[in-house]
Amino acid sequence: MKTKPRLCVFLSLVFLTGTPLCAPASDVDNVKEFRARVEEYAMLHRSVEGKLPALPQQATPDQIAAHQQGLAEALRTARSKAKRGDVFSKAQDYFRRAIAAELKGKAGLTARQTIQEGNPTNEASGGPMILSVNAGYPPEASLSAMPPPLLLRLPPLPDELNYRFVGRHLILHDTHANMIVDFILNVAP
Amino acid sequence: MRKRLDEMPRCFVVLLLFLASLPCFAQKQLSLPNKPDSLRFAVMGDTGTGGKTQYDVARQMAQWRTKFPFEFVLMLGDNLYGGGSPRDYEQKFETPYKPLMDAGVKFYASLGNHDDANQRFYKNFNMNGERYYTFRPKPGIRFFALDSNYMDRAQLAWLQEQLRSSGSEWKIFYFHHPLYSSGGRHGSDEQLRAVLEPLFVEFGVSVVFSGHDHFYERIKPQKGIYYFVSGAGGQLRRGNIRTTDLTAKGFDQDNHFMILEIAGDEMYFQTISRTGTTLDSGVIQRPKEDSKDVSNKATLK
Repeated sequence: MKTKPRLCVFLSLVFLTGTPLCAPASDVDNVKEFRARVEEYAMLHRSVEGKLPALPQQATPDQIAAHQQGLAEALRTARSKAKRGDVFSKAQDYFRRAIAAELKGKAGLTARQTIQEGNPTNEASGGPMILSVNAGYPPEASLSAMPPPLLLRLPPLPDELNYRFVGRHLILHDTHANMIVDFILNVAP
Repeated sequence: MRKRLDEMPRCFVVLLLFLASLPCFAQKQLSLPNKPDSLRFAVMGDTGTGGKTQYDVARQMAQWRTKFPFEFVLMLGDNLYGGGSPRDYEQKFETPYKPLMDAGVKFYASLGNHDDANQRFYKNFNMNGERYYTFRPKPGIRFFALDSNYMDRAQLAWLQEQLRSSGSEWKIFYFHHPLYSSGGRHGSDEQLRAVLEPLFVEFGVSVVFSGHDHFYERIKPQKGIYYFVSGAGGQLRRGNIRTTDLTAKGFDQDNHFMILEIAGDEMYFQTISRTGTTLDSGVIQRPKEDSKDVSNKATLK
């Protein structure tokens, strides 16, 4: 008799707080570390971009191209030793589970369709994409749509970065430099 | 006794020829009222191919502007396909629309899935460095451009705040991915619809323009809101409109653009093909400010 009320309270708390029943306690720490590394990247980005001529809000195409190229080159130099996992770090499992929760099964059908929209592996625009840290995102490649519920679930990013899918892989895309900052392979079901 | 054409009175022949040409002639007529002090604008989507059809549509726009002097153009994304080099800007935007820009027409762009986010800094897209923005060209009329590629919490928070403070004026949205579409290749973006439609309904949005599907479709009003798919300003996917209950009017055989006029509580629209033929037209009536009708939504006349 006493077990039932305790179970009800426990389940209610789980439901109200949104805490997944089977989430490892380390998720909080791993996501915290991910956010710290994202912030570190954002600071580096801003520091590097601050040394370039400012891009006006009413820029010409030449100014846009020069700024993007200069920023990408400077970032590659600044993080020349960067490798896969440097930003996602131990949060990769968290991302896999969070994305699986949104995309799997019947309930996830619409989300799976969404990430196929504009996914460069589905668009006939140039050759296959090669994922590599610091590599440029091909200018002729389209950008995958991101399911809004998934964006609301994942840790927020600063303006300089977006989550995108390339095939089933999740990338961190620097939108100013048009560059791949980090990626996790085979994360979408 | 039958008379040959050359035996008929000349005025009768002229009249016959005139009557025979009348439907074609009427289809190239302006059906917008061109009222004084109205707001006039154009809409185009998925334009940036740099190909012949984009240039054809651009020429039509310039021609129609001589009889309907629209002030600005809304761009529904995929403004530049295949990259964002200076050459791309030149070939896929500056050259085809030069006559319009030279005449002082402004372009207000939104971002598509083929667009580099840095387009928001391009002076002629008037995005002022923002992925999403709003502007008010005339009192009582507000436009909102969204980045439908990346509907994150920051954009949603901004959107809610803007809608809350915008009052009872015309609220017109434009962004790339359609919430409603009968497209076989893409179709309705249901995930985006789930987050945006409740806000649109709550705050009395009247009209939404989107591209992404490469044809023209006027959607039957959904919860009182009018949706247009206008994604064939340069691109085209022939035969891509599926038969659904959504379509009020559809056209997927050629490129097109739209011209619109807002006068008071009425929005007139006319959709024109690459060859100058009218594909669709009508007027959307916005409910009066003091209407207490619970279904206080726009209606098509």
